[in-house]
Amino acid sequence: MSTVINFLTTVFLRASSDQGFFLVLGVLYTIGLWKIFTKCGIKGWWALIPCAREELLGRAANRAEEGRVAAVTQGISILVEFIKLFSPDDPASAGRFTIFLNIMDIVVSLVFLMYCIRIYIGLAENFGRKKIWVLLWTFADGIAAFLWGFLKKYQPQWTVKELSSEAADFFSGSKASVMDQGLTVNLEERTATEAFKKKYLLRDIHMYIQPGHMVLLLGGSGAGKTTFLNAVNGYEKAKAEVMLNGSNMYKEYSQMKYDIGFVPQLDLMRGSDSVYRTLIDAATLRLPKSFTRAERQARVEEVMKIFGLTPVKDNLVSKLSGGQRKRLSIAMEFISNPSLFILDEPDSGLDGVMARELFQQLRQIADQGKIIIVITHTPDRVIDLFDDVIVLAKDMKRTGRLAFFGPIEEARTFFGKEKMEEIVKSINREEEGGEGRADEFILKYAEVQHG
Amino acid sequence: MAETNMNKKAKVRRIRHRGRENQVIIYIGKHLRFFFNEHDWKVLPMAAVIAALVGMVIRKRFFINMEGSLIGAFALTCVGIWNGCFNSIQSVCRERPIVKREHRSGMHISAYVTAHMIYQFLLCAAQTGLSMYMMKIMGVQFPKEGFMTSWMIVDIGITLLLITYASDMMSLFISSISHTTTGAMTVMPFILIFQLVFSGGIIPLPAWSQTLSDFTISNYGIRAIAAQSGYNEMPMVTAWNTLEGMRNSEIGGTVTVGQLLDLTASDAAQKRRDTVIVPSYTVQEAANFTGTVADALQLKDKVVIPAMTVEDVLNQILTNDALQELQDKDLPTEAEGENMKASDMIRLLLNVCRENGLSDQSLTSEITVDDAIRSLRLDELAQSDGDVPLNKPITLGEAIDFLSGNEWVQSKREETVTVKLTIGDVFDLVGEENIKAAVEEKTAQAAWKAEYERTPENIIINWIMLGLFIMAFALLATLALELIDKDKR
Repeated sequence: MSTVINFLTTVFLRASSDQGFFLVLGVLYTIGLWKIFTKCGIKGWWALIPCAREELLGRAANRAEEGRVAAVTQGISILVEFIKLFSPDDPASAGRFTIFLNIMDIVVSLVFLMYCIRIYIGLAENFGRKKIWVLLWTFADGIAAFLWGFLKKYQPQWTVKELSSEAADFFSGSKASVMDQGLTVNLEERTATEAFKKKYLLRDIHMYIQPGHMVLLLGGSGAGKTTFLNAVNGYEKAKAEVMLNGSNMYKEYSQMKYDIGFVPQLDLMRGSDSVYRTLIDAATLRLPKSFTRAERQARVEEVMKIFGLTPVKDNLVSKLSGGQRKRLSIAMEFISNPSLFILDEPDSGLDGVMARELFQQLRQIADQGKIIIVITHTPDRVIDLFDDVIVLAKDMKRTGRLAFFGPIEEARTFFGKEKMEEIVKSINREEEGGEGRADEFILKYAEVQHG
Repeated sequence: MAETNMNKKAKVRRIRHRGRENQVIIYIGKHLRFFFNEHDWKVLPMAAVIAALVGMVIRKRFFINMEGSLIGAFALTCVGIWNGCFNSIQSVCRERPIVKREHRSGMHISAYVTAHMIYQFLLCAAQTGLSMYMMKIMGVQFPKEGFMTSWMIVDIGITLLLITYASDMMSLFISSISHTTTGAMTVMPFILIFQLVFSGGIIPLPAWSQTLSDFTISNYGIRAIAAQSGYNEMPMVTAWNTLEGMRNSEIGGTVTVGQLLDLTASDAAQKRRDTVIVPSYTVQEAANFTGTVADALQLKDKVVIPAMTVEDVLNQILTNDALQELQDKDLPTEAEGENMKASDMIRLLLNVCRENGLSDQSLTSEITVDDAIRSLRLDELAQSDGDVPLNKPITLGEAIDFLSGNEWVQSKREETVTVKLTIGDVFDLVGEENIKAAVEEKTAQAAWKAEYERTPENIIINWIMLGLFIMAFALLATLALELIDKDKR
């Protein structure tokens, strides 16, 4: 009987019945949590339910992922305690299974503690308190929970609400046309599972980009720009149909990947290779087998000339300047003369003059009939070089949605802003320093698409 | 409504790109350039230094005795595992984003891993060669004749190469599943500890952990090297060295004569009946030996013949059966024609002595063992005839027969004897060489292990197991890297 009582107190109050001090802390924690939940817009009685209360505390602290992991580890811990009910108490007579359970218990408890600390940090931010409070939460959470729960001066800055909005629940339902030439994207959704929960990263994005167009991809941080590009180039597949020049990129990815150039944000190249060696290896990898050695070398020479790399052809990559590296990174992708060229912040780390020169080179490539999609955080200095703009924004459910796609001038009219950076500011959340109008534009654009 | 015109879809022309074999060559080139340009060559001098340090430790024991060979096998395995692990632990994770980029540009993971395998093999071979050379010049006594090849140094080198390469592939796998170098280096100590603790060579393992041991590279490495070095054919010296170190330690205690006699009847004693326990002593040795034994048995002060009073002497004459004839003899008295029995006369004399207080008068002083030994004048004899043999050798069987057949000895069974002597005394009594040979033989028998037996099968099985580790980890690394697309950006 005492074993069962011990188990129950351990589950609900996090201390066995013979640990007086910790039992009191457990009671204070539960009562305090009830009040904190009420302050944060959560029903107080959830504080009585193990696991669920950790998950909800995580949400109250704006640490939902940590909350879910803490809840799961707490669940495992309870399961371990339950199994231990049927194991001998005496360590000397304990079998290997009991020893394994004890080790697992310790490991899971440590993980639980680490995630709890992260939740407490978030909680301190929400309640506008100093991080020093995390110490009290860690070593005597009962006292901290009781104080924050019952004292009126401890109030959260935001509360947990079921996020919902008209924009988040409205989908255009219209698909972009598939043409012989150009890029058509019909993306229904791109999801990921994080901390045991399905999360929508992107939804309802449809567009057609003509060949020879240079497209700017705009969006606040976390809006899903890179996720969108990865979905477009087929590297991270979404529930979508992506057609390039009439071919399905997802179904024929192994062939079409050579027709797509993706330049990542970082200069991902080996510093121990020379410029020429980097390009000749890239040519061997990317160019068709029918290319002879002389043809490959000629192509490398041509690309080096286009990107101004000939003077440094024998230099090691690690010795190049930031601009030279960026050009080399682009040249590596350009070597196979792709139809679709995607660049993730190619101007990061470059000064205004060098960035302008780089974008002018990209414009020249686009003028050869290629499609170029570029992410940049300083678009206004080169906006005259772009044809179209894609604006991605997070809706109320934090899902990346299409807020606009079309020519630059139309974008200015649509958002009522002259500069691209002002457009980004208008769709950013208020706590990010923006105007928080993302849902308004998402809904407006979806309605335009829907007709 | 979507305006889809599938009829207009252009058919993708199948374009062939360069295959895996070309990519392997490209990546070997990249690894070699990294080796020279990014100081990857540092692993070579590091391997030489490690081998030199280990060589200094094991040079006087390896291939000489069981313990030295086992320690040498363990140390060499550690060298291999250490070198292998640090060759490749960062090799993939440090360029993971680059690998991801190149993979999306058409690089085959299998080609990438194969290039790594070839490059790492060359690196491991160079390290092994350097390590063996360093050990040789540090004075490790490799036997000239090999068991699997013509040279022992080559035999051991092959095993070391396999250990290094298997560890290298294991680290390549860890590097393939780690997203950062910090992550890989965090895992590394656990892997090293696991390999060393569960190697099963130096640290005795409980039975349940044997299964874990079967999954360690170190286990097979130690087995192979121990077998190659002829572990089972060597003496074990630890027990004897320990005993020798205790030469001046005193041992002893009080036992009954009966307990000592029972020892001679034991099976162990009977099996060694032919063992010579008392060699042929010269007079000089006997002189030394007699004193040593008397000291050891604390007999020097023991009284052999006690001091006797007048009454003791007269009573002895009256009661000694051997003097019965004397007791019954008639002796003439002062009165003419009257005789008196000798015994009566002695009793009369005894009474007279008692009446006059003479009965307690001492007639002789007591004689101790030491007095007796000195009376033998062995020292004087040793000076003149020291080299003259005094006795023939006595075997244990002869001693046992003597003791069991001697009534006087048997009658003393209940008497106690205090034995006090040093281990060195025992060496002197029994013969140091005899004890050393027996101890080394017995401990070597106890330490014998079937898995360390020097047979071609044993060595080849361990080599095959190490080869399987290499293939398994390379395959796992390939599979792990095939999932690189799932990385978060």
